[in-house]
Amino acid sequence: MTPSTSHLTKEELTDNLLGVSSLTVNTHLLGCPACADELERVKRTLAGFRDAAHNWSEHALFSAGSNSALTRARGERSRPTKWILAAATMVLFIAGSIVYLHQEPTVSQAHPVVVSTPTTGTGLSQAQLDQDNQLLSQVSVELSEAVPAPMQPLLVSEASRSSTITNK
Amino acid sequence: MTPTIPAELISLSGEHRISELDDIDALVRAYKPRVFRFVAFSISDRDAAESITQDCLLKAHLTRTQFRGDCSIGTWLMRIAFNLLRDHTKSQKFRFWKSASASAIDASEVSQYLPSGATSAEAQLIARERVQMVYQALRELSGKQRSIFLMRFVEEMDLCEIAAITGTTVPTVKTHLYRAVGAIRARLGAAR
Repeated sequence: MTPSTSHLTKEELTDNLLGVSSLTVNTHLLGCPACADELERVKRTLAGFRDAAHNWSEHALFSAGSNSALTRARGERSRPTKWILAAATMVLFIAGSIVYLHQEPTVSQAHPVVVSTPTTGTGLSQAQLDQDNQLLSQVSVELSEAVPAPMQPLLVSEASRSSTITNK
Repeated sequence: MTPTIPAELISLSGEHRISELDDIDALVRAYKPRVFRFVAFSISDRDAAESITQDCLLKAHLTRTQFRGDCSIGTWLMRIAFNLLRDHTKSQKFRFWKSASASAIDASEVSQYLPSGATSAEAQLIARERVQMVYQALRELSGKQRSIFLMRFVEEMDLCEIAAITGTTVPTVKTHLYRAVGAIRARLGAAR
């Protein structure tokens, strides 16, 4: 209370509105109609504003449709799932492409591997190597001959003719 | 002074409240009206309030694992809404649209929703005028003062809760309320 007016200050009045006023203030309100009326007027006004605000917001939400937040939240919730699916699809696609691209060279390389596998280390392969070497040396011998095999009869007849001439 | 949380706010177990946050439908049903009302009267724009309310509920739902359970869900949501409001009002976009928004809330529109009760037509008219005066007085307050006023006198929140939400102390909250009530009384006194 201010000494000059002996009425409640704005702090004391607000404290009373907040429900934290002192006993002195409450006693003053009982004996001061002006302060009591002012307090009552402010209380009524604030209560009216609160009721109007509550009613207005209910009406505003009802007219706007109260499910919009829910819809958006559901959209957000499903968003990670969509991302996971998209990422999984991408990974599968990339993996498939890699496998497809590497499949051709792998198959072509597989043949020499399969063929060459028995040639290493076993006794059978050693025999085959010997056989191959023998065949190769035979081919080399045939190639090194001056007259090819198809010409051999000709060579024989030529030799026999020359011997015949010499004998003459 | 460190704000304290009243005992009744931590009466529910944290587990129960986290499960309540898991259910987005229940969260929207229970808290959307309150958050929307607070935001709408803070920024006086219905569309922006709708958007911020959605952001608030969505953020609460998505970050529900961060909710420690040291206050009620309502208080936690109001804290998120208060922070979103602060970010929103700082943005240039808000400053540009503030004066020209088509969805601005009209004081006379709000006053139409005052309950009729059993009073006379004249008393109704006076009451509506007072609602408009409060609304206009709120517009002249700072953002923080307005938010604190709304939390206390519209949402009827405890001073400790308000202090926790706004990151201030109870005496600071009371100082803001003194100014807000003073501004409203000045309006009412001028109209008398």
